[in-house]
Amino acid sequence: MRVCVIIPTTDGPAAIMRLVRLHKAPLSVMRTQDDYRALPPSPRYHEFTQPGGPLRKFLTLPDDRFELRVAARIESGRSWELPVALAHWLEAEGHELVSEDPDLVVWATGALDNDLKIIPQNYHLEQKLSGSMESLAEYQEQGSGILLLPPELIEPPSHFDSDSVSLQVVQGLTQAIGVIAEAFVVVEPDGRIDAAPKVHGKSVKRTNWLWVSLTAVALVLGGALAVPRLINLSPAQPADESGFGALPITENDPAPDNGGAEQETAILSTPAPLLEEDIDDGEPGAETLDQREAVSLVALESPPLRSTVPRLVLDYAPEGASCPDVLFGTTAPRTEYRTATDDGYGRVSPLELCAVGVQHSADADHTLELLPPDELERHVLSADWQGGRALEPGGVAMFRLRAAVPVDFAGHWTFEGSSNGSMDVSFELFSAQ
Amino acid sequence: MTVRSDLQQSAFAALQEMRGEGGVDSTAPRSISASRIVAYARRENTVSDLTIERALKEQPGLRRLYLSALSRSAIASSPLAAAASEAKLTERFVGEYQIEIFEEEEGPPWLVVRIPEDAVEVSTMELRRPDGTGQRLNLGQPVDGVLQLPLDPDFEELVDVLELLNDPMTAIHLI
Repeated sequence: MRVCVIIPTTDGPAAIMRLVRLHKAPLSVMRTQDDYRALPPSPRYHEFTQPGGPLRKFLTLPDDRFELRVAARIESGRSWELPVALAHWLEAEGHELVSEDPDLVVWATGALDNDLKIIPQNYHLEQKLSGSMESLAEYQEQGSGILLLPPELIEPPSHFDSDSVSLQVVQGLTQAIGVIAEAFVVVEPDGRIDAAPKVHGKSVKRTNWLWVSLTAVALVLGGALAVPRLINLSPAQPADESGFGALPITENDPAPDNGGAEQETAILSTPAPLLEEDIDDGEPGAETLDQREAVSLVALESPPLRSTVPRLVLDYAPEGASCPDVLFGTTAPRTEYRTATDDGYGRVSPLELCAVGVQHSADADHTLELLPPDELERHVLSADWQGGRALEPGGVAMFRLRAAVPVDFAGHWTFEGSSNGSMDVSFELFSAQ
Repeated sequence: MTVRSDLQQSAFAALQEMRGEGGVDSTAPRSISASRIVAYARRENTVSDLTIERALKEQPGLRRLYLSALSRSAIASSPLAAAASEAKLTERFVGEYQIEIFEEEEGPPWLVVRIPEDAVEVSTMELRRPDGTGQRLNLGQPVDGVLQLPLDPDFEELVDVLELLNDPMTAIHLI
């Protein structure tokens, strides 16, 4: 993917134009396109990227030095460190760093400590954003997606066109990378990964669609990340509730007692703005602001379980929608349930399957330790993959699928801690049921 | 004898030599004074005086005066490379300072000057051929004892530098 990384300065934006590996020269150098002499931060850049330096503790970089060429002078300070670190990560991941015609523009700022967390200080964010507006507007005109990653919440200028722009507050390199990495995920109904998908029936030149619901993706970043403050500058579409009246019941499910169920995903269908204090609305399942748990503990008023074995929960894209729509919260999934039998959960159709998980019985009086199938890990968004986790009575653990769902997959869900001891329940995906 | 008087002696001797060679018409007004030549050699910046540069190419006496003044004021000098003339320079020593040129897979070659520990820091390099052509280059600030510059032909002042460096007859002075 073609990515433009912008280093905002108080004198205007400095886009990274090139990042070249130097195999023989002993120093890494930062310079502009207009001068062969190194910029004042160049010694720090060398120290930052050299073996043993802060960046290499986190990124696996080749044993090279680098020439970093930027579009404008950077005279002082260290706020270039976060965007430069992101540029190195992007380059190492095989993306192309460009200053013209990018698919994605990343605007970030922040000096980094030895743990690659942003050092709190005054970054003159409003001035920097204001100074970048003209550049960002030009990229927008060209159809590039814009991702702003400030270290604290800022109010964009009132004239800022919010279409195709998303803002995510980040506190360090790891979090910033997570936001960008998730933004690259696109899943088509047939499992293809598409870098230029359609949005609501309208073709777009670039990945503008990413930004409609990036909020939802950012919320479910995994790892020990602090809950970010978010502004989704493109409001999410309201969740489609028309399918909530009665869930399709598979042959293995017991008849529902209440004639239907209503599912709410506490986070994924909530439109922006979304701040920490907005989330705890008392709905069952929305018990914590922790990102992973907010996804896991989904409120499901569903037919009660009659077995102590957790049941399988399958989120499919409803008719007329796709998994990206579900993934980014613009539409609610069509959920199916499977109760375990002697043959396990049986065979499941992978067609338009967006997420798979398990739900513990609400009647249970114990907590289970869940170990999902190891083979599932590479198919699941990294934010959701945690390995083992605890399942409280009534709790749900969902795993959103990353890309092409395997059409021939078999694994076991392991539940430990019940009176029956450890339980292994088989689970299979096959293209033909 | 002080450095200044030493230079003045050199200047006087060179001037006499120039007059003897007919390089200077003793009856005609001098175009460039010796003191101006010496001052140009001892300047700290890299700005070229085109009049003097032309004179250095055209007037051997002035050239000798200049090179003498330059050698005396430089931290380290190497009159010519101890290498086969056909070979491209990849490494050369100027006093205890190591000069290298690295060709990379992508982009221009890089000039590297390594400053030995405890040695005086240098910031400027002057390259001068016997015919008087040459270039003075700002090397920037060292990092970990290393000065590094891209010999990027997009910059006019660097166009001739690589050619000068690869010429074993080029004298290198570190200032």
